[in-house]
Amino acid sequence: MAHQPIIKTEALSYGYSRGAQTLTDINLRVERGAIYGFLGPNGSGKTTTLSLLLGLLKLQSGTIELFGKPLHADRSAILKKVGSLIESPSLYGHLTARENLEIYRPLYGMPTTRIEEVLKMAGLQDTGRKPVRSFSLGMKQRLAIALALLPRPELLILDEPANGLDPSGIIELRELIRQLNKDHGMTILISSHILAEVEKMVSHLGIIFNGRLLFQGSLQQLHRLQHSGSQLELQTSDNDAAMELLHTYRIERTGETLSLALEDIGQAAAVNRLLIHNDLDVYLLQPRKTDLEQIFINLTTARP
Amino acid sequence: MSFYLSLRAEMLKTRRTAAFYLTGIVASLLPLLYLVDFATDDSDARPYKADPWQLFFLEGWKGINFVILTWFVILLCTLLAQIEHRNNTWKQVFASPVPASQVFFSKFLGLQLLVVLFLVIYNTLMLASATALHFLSKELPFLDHHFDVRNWLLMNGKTYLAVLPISVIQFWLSLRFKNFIVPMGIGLALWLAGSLAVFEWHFESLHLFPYMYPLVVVVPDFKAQLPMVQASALVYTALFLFLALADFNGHKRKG
Repeated sequence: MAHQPIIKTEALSYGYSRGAQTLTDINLRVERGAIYGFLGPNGSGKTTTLSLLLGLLKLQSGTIELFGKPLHADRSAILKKVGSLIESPSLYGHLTARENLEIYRPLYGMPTTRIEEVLKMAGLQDTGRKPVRSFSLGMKQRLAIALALLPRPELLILDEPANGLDPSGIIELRELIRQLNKDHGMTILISSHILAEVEKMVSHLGIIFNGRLLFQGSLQQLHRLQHSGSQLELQTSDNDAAMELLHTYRIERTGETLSLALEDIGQAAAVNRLLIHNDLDVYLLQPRKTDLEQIFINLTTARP
Repeated sequence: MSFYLSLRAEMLKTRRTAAFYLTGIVASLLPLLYLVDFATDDSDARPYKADPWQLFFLEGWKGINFVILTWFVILLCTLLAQIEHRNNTWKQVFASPVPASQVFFSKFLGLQLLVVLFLVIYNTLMLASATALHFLSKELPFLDHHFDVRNWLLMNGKTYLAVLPISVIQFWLSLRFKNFIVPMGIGLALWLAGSLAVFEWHFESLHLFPYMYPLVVVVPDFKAQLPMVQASALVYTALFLFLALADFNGHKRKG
């Protein structure tokens, strides 16, 4: 039970209309205590997946388990342990920040003091009688995050929470997420279409594109993929002879520069030794890593 | 307890909304109109002198039943559903640990409480208006006459029952359609069609037409149809409540 994933989906598929599949065979696994970044370009199926996890959409095929139980077996008890923000902030514009929170507070069985706690966490404790409709987009987003935190959730699902936040707001959000995960042991599933936005805080990643999960694993696994996708750039005194010597590698020539795929950094030294032993002068030997952004782009553009 | 908390949440959402203000404003229209009208010129009040309570309330109930309450319910249902539609809050409602059927019934009961609040305000202001007129007009000595409490309560009950199926149908339409024009348009069109059917084409089977039920309560010519209409009101209420709940559960994902 200790290794039971907090979110587990199997063969999850969904279509909004007949013949148009939005999600295909999504097998999501989010371990307890993880900060899971759910990445994909706009329209890739992130919000649909998260909506299914919260029971906002009717399950068509596949299974969803939250906290080791089928979602539909005890939906209310499960959702009591989940805080969420899906798409744009869901707030009542005519009410104040406190009133918005007060609507949901008793439904989650929280004490009245919890409202001040989450307002403070979101930096909205001084909004007084101001109705939410006169809040800036960033303030609305922060209130929506406060609302998600209201139930002291074990699982926090945040769909593009940085939308509308200014750079300092994004940094604060990142810190808040780290703190919630570290200090409260909260498992966090956070979606984004920008890798750079989440790569600094996540422990695990899922990359979705065109409704299919293309990658899922720890950040370390993604980094291994990053190394395996690295290139070595070379310039020698005789590039034709070098190509002949290195024919066992996948080698390409662009002008005066040769490039070959690098499995690990040790190969760079082996290539250098081989060239020198064959009396070739090496003018350039430069390993070039593929950054995570490039991997993300490669994964999400490689397939139709 | 859980249902009470849902109902409390629904009532909290109506704070400072047009729906809440509308309840007070529309309910006070007729009492204020009567007060101002008879206080400034009581010559029209002479026919009511013999039994001011009966006539005063009968005229009032006619206005309430034929136009005001029906239109108010159509508008109220639309405004209440718009609180969720306009604010794009359905997804947060459904992501909360409350079953959809509980959301549905707490919203419905919240609506009914506002309809009851309307009747309470209307009755209170009518009584206040009558008391004031006793001192302002010699033609309307309300306090010198017996006030028939039983009949007054009965009239309130009949009126509420008559408007109940309309409120269910409008409640369903308002939840179903995001665009507020649709439920408003359908409601007013059905009321208009009913009025034409009764007054122009002399359609007699009024129990088939829920939007005309409040009329049956106050028009003496339709008195014989009242028992049938009241039974039909209960049947329509149960039927449309069931259909609305099934539809709400099936299409709960919005916004």
